[in-house]
Amino acid sequence: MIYYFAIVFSVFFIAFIISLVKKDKLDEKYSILLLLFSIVILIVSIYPKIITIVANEFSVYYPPSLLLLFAILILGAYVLHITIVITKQNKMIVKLTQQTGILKQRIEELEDEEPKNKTKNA
Amino acid sequence: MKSNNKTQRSNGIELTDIIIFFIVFIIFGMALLSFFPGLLTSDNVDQINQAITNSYVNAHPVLHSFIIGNLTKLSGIWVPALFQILIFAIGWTYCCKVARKYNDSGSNKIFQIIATLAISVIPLNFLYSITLWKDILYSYSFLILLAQIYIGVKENYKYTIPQMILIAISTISIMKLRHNGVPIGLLMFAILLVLNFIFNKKWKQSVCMLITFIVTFIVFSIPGWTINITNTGGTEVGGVLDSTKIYCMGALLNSDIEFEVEDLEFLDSIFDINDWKNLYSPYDGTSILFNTNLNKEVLETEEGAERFNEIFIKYAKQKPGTIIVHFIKVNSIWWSIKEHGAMHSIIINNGSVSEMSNGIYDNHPIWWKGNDKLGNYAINTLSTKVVYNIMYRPAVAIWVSLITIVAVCIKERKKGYLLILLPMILNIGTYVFLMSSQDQRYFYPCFMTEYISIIIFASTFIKNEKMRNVKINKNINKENPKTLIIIPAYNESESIEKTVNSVYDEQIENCDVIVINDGSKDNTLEVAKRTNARVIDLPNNLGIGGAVQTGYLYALENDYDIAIQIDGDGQHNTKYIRNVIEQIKEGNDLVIGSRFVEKTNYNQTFMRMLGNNIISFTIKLLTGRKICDTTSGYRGANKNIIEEFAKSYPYDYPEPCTNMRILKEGYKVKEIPVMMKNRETGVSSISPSKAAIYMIKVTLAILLMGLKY
Repeated sequence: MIYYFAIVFSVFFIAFIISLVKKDKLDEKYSILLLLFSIVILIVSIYPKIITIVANEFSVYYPPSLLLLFAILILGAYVLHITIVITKQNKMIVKLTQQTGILKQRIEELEDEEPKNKTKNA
Repeated sequence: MKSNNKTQRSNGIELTDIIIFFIVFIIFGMALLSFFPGLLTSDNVDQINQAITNSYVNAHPVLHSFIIGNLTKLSGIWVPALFQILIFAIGWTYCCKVARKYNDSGSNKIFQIIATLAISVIPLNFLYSITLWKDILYSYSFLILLAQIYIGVKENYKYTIPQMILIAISTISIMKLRHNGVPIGLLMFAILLVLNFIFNKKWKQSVCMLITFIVTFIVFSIPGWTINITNTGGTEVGGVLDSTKIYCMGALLNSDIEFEVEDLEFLDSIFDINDWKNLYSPYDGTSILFNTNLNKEVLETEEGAERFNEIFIKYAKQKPGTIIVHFIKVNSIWWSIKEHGAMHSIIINNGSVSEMSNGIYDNHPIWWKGNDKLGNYAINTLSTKVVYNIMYRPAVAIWVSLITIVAVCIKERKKGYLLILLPMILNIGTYVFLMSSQDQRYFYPCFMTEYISIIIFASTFIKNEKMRNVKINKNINKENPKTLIIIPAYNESESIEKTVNSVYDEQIENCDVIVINDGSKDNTLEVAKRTNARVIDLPNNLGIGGAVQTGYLYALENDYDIAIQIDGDGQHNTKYIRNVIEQIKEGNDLVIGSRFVEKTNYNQTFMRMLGNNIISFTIKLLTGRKICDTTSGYRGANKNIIEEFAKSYPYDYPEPCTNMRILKEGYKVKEIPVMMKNRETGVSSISPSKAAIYMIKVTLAILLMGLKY
């Protein structure tokens, strides 16, 4: 029963991500990892035997624990990926803010000078 | 100008050093793979066995045995092999740096020769004391040539006389030390010769190199002077049979012992008896060991090995002197013979080594005392010259190196070089421990000391890098520098006006004040605009780091010579600004106004004091320089530093991190005493209750920064 649920869930997940990308709410480059992840879930839920086969290869005593391990590893990788993106964006925001401040000051300076020049010309 | 830029960019470890490191790593790895059939030599096999059986009783450095043995247990043979290569590469990169330094410096000729010698013996010492690896001499000569090629690239292959001698000696060592060294040595020498000719276009120097080579070759070919190192690696058969035995058997066959017919037949099935007799040489077993006709298959079966062993022990007992000669050359023979009782008969046969029979030395490193006894025996029975040849030459190398290292220390007035001796001293210490007791617990301090010494060695390698060139100051308009006072302000409406006005009250020439309003929630912006200062209004709150960096960006864009940051809360006394400018004019890159250089009446809580001391200690550990007040926000920077800060500036804990970075990059930093008032208004960015957490975070951040620079 749970397998059917998993299949339905992963199909919905894929459809959801694709719709998000379509609506431009999710960048393509961020969606790739999620899509891959959900496709893996789909495959595993259609052929649950894969887990047992892989577990035997890695000589894991209790196959489902392997599934959990991989899930945690993939999530960890995804979190790291997102943290890197955040750090990059944070740096960009700081740079933007600084430049905005400097430009604002410059504009005010120029605006102050302009009336004086006008009066001089007059 | 180009060279100026280069010196300015020089960081702790230069790119070239990393490149050398990897070249050494790869070439040495390849050399290991191609020359050693089992990747690791017999000594290492011994060491690994010690770790597996948990009995560290051999003459090898115990920690090294411990590490490579346990690495092998965990991960197979590859990791310890890489570990060996790594140690070698580190040692060698260091040597290349020393070599380059002496080539650059204009010290006198004699000292250059001494230094060249030192370069050639330091790594030998270091590596030999760590690994006790007999093939180190060979590999080492190999790398001397590589280093000379590396130096050649810089110098257009113009070599000085000591360098030529070094090249010649190492080439000949390569040719003589191993059976397959001749083509490699000649090939490398030919490459050097051709490169020298191509780049110099002067046939005289090439001829000079060739003559040096030939002369050295002749000198080294005089019997008794030749460095003969016996090869032992390669043909371990299940630990029962040592490859040394195979050529020791050659010695026995050549002696006057009468062999039984069936024994001879068996030996003949392994290797042709006549060849065995003819190819045997007292110094070199390689011609037998690596002969394609040697039938190892017989030895690899358990029966064959057992049989060979029996025969060996049987005749070794009849002719113990022959075995002792080999023993002195190759310590490992002791273990294989002793296990089977042959050594016992030697002990009975000769009075001078009879002490060996009472079991005292059974579990002690034999080269500690056993070597002496056996050496005495050998001297009595053999000629002194032979014993000298096979036994003491490595010791001479070590003594020469000791003297040269001390000479370099005295000449350079750098005690740091003496640390190179530490691994050796500690090794000796290890054996003292081992002598006093067989208690396993004594091994742990030995493990610690040996590898701590390696860490110390590595740190001197890094520290020597601090002898880098002094940064070149950009031409500061010394008479009248353009100065910018940066005042970051976050919710400081009450004190900002007073701070700005007090700066203007100082009446410093050619000075602008800029207030950076870091997205304040109160009316700081309006208050600041009422003053004469320029105001940058940041739309977001970036934190102290981002705000101060804005000031430095502004200074860079508007071409200021000096930038001084002070806090907006009125804690910093503006009368010190003049002192800061003076100090920068005198050529300091970064000037820090410090609360603790002299005793001031600044109100300091205990926790803060402790935190500051810990951060200061961390910085000292990483850079070797001390800063008393690491968190001071009262700092003046010249153009170099403005550029650095505009490029990158941490957002959290900016002051300690940037102080460390500036020190690490080799800029001149000066601390001047300032009096700070206690806070008048507002809340400090570091509240005392959070000081402990702040300190831990800053320390970690600084340590992480240490990785970056």
